[in-house]
Amino acid sequence: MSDTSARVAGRLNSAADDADRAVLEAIAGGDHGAIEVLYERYKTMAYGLALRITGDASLADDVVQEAFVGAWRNAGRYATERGSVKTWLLAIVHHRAIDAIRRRRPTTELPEHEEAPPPSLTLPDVWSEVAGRLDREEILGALATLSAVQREALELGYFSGLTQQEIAVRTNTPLGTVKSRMRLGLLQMRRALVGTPPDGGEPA
Amino acid sequence: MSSLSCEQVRDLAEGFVLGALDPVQTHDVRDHLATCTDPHAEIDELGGVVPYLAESVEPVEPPAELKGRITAAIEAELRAGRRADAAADRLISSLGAGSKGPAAPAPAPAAAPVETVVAERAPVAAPIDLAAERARRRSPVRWLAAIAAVLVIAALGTWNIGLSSQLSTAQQHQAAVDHVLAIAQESGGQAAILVPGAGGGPAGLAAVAPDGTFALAMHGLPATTGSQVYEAWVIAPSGSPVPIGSFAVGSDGNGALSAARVPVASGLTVGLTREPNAGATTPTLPMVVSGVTAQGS
Repeated sequence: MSDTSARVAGRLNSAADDADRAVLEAIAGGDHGAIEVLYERYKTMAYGLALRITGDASLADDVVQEAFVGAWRNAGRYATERGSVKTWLLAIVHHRAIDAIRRRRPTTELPEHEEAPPPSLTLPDVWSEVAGRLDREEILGALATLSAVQREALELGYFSGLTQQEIAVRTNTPLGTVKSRMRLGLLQMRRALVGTPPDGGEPA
Repeated sequence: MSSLSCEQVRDLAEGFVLGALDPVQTHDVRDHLATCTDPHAEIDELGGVVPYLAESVEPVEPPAELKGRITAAIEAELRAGRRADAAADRLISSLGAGSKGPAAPAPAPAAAPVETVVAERAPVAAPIDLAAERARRRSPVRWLAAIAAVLVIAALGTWNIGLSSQLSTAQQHQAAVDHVLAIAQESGGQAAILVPGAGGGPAGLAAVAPDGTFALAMHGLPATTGSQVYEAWVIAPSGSPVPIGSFAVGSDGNGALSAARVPVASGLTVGLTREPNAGATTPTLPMVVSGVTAQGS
């Protein structure tokens, strides 16, 4: 992608963000049909993510349904500073999908304590600047700069529904190694996406 | 306060942002972040990457019928919510500001679902002096107190008070309602009327104090069997449902729950679901009852 087209895409994307926010405002204001706009825009990303995590079409259906109904229900509580509507929506899908497979997995004993909703992240400015410009190819390109073990650690951490402890056991790797691969993988991906190394925040 | 130190939270950051911690750890990290004065920049730094993992996945076209399922689910919830809102409105308007409290003694109606009580039998009065006591208090949450009185009355109406065992049940329920009111009356306390989405039946009150102390009292819930429980949920602004705790219900239909460290925000949605087991992490819909908290004062 050339610089020009990247800038154009960036503008289009930030226009899309504004449009998404307008949709959420419409939903919160009582235009309940507006959720369909959001659904049409993100259904393939949402369904792809749900399917990737659950590996089960009917479970993925349920996850996406729950996620969009949840988004509709919470439209009035979406806060701009938490990132784009797309990010917010996909975080809901991720959370629901992980929850669904953890429930289904009989060997994973869920403690009596509840699982919390997805972390509420605030994205630093540098991210909102680049956020709109990245397409899937660029993201895959950034992932490709990770070492194989880092990539595997991130994929297991994000898509498998396993905890770090469980990953350590299954891959016969010390927990500390699993953690540092995840951390280094995230930092490397960040560098590849943003282009500049973050200040501080050195991995433990 | 949190059970984790800042150092421990920093150590868990990558697992937290990826969703690769166990539920207890996740809860503890969230708890810490909610109260910690340290900005915990590492959470943003690492977490900012995570949305791109979601977007790295190949998009897949969902089945065509999924859209219809979603809109149908929303419409169902909307209908249920309208009924609940309407019930609460009627409850409040029929009681006025609650300054007088319910009026002269009258026989309590039998087995009246609260929606019906509200719409048609609001001038019901207490066979006990609860209403008068509430009025005397001149609480800043007068309307709430008045509603509570009606709920207790509605509950009492379904019992045969002549039976001493049921009288003690009634007293327990009243104590639970009093507990909710005490929390609602704290400065900054919020309360919600919990009414069913569909039809009449169970009803109650929930309250949250600014320190996260939470209580609810319910009447008219169908009894639980086996490992079944009612799970209470709080949905904070920008949040997903957070389970607060669960309780079983016997043949008296009463339920009460107290909890601490509930997420606090204005306009919390409080709801109850019936779950096959304790420890649910997402609510099994539909909500049995729900309501949105408002400041009483």
